[in-house]
Amino acid sequence: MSLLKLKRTVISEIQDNLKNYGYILVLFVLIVGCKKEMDSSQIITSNPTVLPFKKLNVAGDPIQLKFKDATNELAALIIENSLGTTVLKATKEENMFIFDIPKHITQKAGLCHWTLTENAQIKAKGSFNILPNPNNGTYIESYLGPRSITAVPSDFSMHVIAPTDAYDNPLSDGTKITSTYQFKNNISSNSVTMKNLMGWKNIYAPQQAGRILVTANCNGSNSKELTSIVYPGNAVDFNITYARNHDYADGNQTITFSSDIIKDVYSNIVSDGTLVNFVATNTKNIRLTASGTTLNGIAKARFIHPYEATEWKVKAYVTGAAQSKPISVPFKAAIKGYQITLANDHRLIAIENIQSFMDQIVPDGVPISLTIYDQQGEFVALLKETSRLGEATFELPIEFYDAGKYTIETVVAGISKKQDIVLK
Amino acid sequence: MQKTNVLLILALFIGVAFHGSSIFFTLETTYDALIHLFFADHYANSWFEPWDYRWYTGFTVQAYPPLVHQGIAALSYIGGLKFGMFTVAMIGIILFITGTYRYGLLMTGSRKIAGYTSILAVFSSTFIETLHIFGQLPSILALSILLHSLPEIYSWIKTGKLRYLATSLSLIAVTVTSHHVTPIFGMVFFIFPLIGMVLMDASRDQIPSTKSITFKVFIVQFKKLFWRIVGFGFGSLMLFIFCILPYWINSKKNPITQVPIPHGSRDNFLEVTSSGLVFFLIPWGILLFILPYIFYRYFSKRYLFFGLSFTVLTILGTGGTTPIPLAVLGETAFNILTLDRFTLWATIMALPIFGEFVYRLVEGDLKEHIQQRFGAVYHRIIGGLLAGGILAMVIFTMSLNYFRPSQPQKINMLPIVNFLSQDMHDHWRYLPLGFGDQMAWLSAQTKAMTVDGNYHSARRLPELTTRPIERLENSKFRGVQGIGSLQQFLTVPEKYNLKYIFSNDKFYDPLLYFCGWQRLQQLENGIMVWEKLNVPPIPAIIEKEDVSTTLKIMWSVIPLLTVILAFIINIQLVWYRILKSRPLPQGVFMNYEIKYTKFSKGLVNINHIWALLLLMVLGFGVYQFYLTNATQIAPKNVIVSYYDALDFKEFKRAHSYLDPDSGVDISQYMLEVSVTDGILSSYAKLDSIGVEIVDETQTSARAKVFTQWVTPLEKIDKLYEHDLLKHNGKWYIAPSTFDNDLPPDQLISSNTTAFFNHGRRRITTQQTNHEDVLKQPVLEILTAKLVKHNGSYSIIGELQNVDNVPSDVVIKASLYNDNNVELATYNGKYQLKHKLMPKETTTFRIDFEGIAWSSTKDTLPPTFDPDQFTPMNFKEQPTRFNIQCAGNVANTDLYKEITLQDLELNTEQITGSLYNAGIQEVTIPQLLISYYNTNKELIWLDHHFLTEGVRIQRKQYFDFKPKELNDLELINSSLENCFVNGLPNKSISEKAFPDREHEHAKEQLQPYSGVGYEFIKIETNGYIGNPR
Repeated sequence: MSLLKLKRTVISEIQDNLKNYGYILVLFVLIVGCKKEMDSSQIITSNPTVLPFKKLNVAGDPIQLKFKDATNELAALIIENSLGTTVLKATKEENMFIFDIPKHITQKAGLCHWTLTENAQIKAKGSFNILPNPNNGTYIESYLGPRSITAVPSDFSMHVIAPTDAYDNPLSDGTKITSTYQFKNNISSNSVTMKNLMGWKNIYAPQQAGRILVTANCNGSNSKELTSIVYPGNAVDFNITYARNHDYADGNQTITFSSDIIKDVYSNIVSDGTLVNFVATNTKNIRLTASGTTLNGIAKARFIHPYEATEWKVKAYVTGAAQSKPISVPFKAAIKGYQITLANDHRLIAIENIQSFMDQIVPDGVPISLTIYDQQGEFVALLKETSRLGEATFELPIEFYDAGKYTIETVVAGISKKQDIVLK
Repeated sequence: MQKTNVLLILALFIGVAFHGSSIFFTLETTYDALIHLFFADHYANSWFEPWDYRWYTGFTVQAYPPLVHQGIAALSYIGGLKFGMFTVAMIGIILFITGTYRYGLLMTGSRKIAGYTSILAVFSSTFIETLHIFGQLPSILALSILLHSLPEIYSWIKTGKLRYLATSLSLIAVTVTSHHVTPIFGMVFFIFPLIGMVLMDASRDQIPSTKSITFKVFIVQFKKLFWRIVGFGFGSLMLFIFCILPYWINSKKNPITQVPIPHGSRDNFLEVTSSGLVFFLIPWGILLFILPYIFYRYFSKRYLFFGLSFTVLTILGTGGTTPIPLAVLGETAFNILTLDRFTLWATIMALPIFGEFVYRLVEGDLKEHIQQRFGAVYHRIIGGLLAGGILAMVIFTMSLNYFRPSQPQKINMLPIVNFLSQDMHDHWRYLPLGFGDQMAWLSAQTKAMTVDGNYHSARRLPELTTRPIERLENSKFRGVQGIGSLQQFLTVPEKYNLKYIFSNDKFYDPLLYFCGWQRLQQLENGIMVWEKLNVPPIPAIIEKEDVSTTLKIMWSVIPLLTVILAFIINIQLVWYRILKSRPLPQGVFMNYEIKYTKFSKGLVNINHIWALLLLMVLGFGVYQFYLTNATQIAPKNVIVSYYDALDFKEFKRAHSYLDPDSGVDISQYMLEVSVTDGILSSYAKLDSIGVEIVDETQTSARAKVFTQWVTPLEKIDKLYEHDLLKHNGKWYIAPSTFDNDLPPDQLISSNTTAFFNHGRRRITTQQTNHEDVLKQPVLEILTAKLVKHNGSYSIIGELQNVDNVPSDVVIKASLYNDNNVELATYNGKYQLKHKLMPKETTTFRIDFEGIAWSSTKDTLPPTFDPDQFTPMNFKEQPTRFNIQCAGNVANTDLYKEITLQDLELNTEQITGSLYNAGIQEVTIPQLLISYYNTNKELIWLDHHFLTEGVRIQRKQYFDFKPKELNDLELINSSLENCFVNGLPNKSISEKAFPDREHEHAKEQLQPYSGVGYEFIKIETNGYIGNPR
């Protein structure tokens, strides 16, 4: 029952569809037919000629092109300038076509080509030129770079000036521009001629560090102020000094090395933050290093005093550019000796009486090492302590150090002592 | 007229009140919920476009079935994303409770037992865990709808009424679009046994009792119902393919070829007890105690197929505890699937039987049996214990996140979102660190993109897929591999246009610093923003993998359509069911209700024995736990405990392990500990500890402790020695002595040159004015060489900031072969100073790091290489190189006041101290040690991190082993292809330093005769953790 119904509906649907196809077919034939007819009926030939027009214009002036003997409704004017191509439709006036060139074309300086076409056929061609219009005011776009230079004769910043008219057209070649710059008390102007859309001027670095301000002027208009920083050149050799509280090697005072004011070859103080390496070479030919950064040309670096007597040869470098004369810094021994006290069957080893240069107790923290060797001279252990109130103790508990004979070696501030002990 | 089931109403009432109110406090801190929120945000913004640029440099959301996300997205139009999420969760809760009710009804045929089942479902620890700890909304929704579909499927096969086929298929379609794994395995584990049960019931109808069902009868029924089964099976298979067709196409196109990410559910639960707790004990909960009953019931004839399914699920859920799951699933499936879902299904499957058990215990034959045999009091005790057990599990599970938070504290995202949207910061990619799953919530709120992501199946970059890490964001939890992967992103950030990092975990800060990043600012919410200079913005056009419009429309329309269809098809029934306005036909399964008359005595005995056994095992476990954690019963224990305490910064506990006779009181100890800073004390995680006890006597011992610490920079091995003493049966550690050194001055003054860069001076929405862009500082490369050391290639050299302003240095080197074919590119990482003052020099070394295990077929190394460095694999010999160096004005991290002192050169080791002469505390000092040959030419460079910081006016001693440079080959030494800021190095050299004095650098070298070199130079660099 239901199947029959389905069959019926399907058939009717197909019929409906066939009807639709019929309509589409008819429509198609009609469209194709119409098209051909239109093509054949509209062939009108005309030979339009352009009326005289101004070949040289100034940006912003209205421009109109007129063609006589023009009848074809489908005529179009194609205009090309440096910014693109535009197609214009004509307004008709008694057998004459008038094309008003739109503002976006008349305001742009440069050569404009026009082409009149009819039915994809070129009927007439020509061109006109538009010049920049400096009369409505001049605007100046200017750049200065690099923004920082070094005070050496070869370095410069380039001032690039692009004056434009009110419609943003660069002015014509040959336009005079004045580039003015100020440095310290000196203001100087240079005349620059525009060429290839812009004018430029190299501003060479003066011999002094400072700041150059630059501006430009053209047709009475002024640009904004631009800046280039003149940094000092590379450092030249300098001297260093040092300051310290005393000359004892107590390991607990800072010694500060300072450079004098580091300058470049033109006596400019080197730029802040210049890194100076201080290298101190001691009597064992070991180089200790510290670095300082300059502030107003002076770099400072701090070391802490060594623990044992020595002499430092200190030299500072601005690597690759400058160095100082070496100076010599002697350190006298502060700690001259100490005592070893054994107690508790030698299991308690006390390092005592570590005294400094005025026989005062040394400031806390002097490193003390104790190396233990067994009877055969084999290494057993290395114990390290730091002094507290001028002494330090080492404990050798029975759990870890069997009874027997040992040799101990103690080192305090470079003073080494050896001793035999017997643990019970 | 049917009566409303009071138990079901009660379950719904309690369930919605309990879960519905607590999700507001739990859901956002779960693992998954925020990921779904992010996906929802995607659909809310671009419903029809499956490509999302925000994660993984772009990925497709067609990698996850969309229904839940689209549901949240649709609801978000009403009340925002979170409203959508909570509403969907609420719907999930209701569907789950009603689903278990209908499932219980189907299984038992008793409305009462089904009611019990639904109440137990509300309190089932597996559901609580899935919702409140894992936040797996799609999984819950899909499972619930699957449960709803089961009675319909039963009815279709049993009765053959087309209406039931429509209802079951409509529900299956919804299941498929909400979760992909659930229906696949649901088919196997729920629907197959269900079909078996239908056949059993059909067979039962032919003969007088269940017991007399024979295989023959069963086969006859199977033949009879065969076409219904096939009809349903075929229909659901079609839906399966059709409803999420784009998903299948995407999986085919982008197969998951990535290194498996370790998941706790694959652990051996006996070894990794925390995984055992989360993936076994909690989901099973109280069900463990009645396992014998569940097995007994499920292996009765009617449920036989469920019994088999349940057994398989139970075994698969045990993960790596037994080798069976691996053998059954095979290597691939085992490593992709998270096995906890098997436990989830097993426990859900057990619910009706649990309901039946409780019914029989509360008001059925078991109650009578126990009361007769053991007395009424015992029955009450058992009941109380059961109820107490259930409640205890509920509270324990709910509070798990409170006591052991799986996520960092909730982060206020607004400052970050504002930061990203201001000043065109979203034109670069960002990377959150230490955000946990909240990174998904951040991503959802911004259109800025990140290289990271939170849905690891969709990862695309080989740097990610070849490492077993879920996210870069939490890479520290993946140890060396995680950090290694993160390092690749941090070292070459311009490859990913990665410029900003939001750090919520200071652990990563040293890594960022030494990879050349700098701190930008701290946001109001305490998140530190790091930036990298010289990174280009994301190009306007980024690649994407497009799919056909048909697939896009299918993906966007079908899911919600399945819901609407299912709603239309089922609404009538639902309405009748709820309102009882018309008597409904009873489900045919109602005919198979069992009369519970006599509870098996043997079963009671067995279950008692089982429960006792279980209690004993638990007790033993607790005892073992106590023993290994008893801190002071052996020398080894006290050492391990001490380091554990130090690792977790529990200094009071650490102090309690120190010898009380030593006279170090707690305040002294705290003072001494609190002043130490450095990579070990502030940025390290103890990875492993080995203790060797030597010289042990009754009362003393000496321990050598070999520790391995994972730090953001490298793995540090450190050997400590301790003396141990025993007092009153307890072992103690003799405290180590501290440095007594006093700084020389009380008050010091210091001048520094500080810098500030305005950035854009004019407030404008346009691009920064050209006048506000500083000139790039000029750097000069002094030497550059390509060398081969121990088989891997490196570029070493030296460069100088020859400008007048401090500079940040980015240096990138490429290797070429003889035919000028580029072989590799990499950036400088640790082995250079990234910030240079004017005229400062730095040596540098660039290693070419490959993408680890770039072929996924490579087997992962079982133990991870401590140096975490994967040398690039070169097919051809590199012979030439190119160096691109860029300077940018730097104004931070310019501290240079670390003095090298007390240097001693021995043949075996070099020792010395660093003295901090300035007024910033250097947290992680670094030494750059360069080696030179007889002609004072650079031949190699190495670095060394000090494990402790240098405090102001104090010293920090260091020692390191000088290199032995036997295997060193110089391949090319040339400055020809070196460029600085895009300009040839030669022109810079001629202009900036025409008369360079080369002797200066040579004079500063330290003579030191080693294997293969005659001079060394030690440069210092340091990370300041807390700049003043």
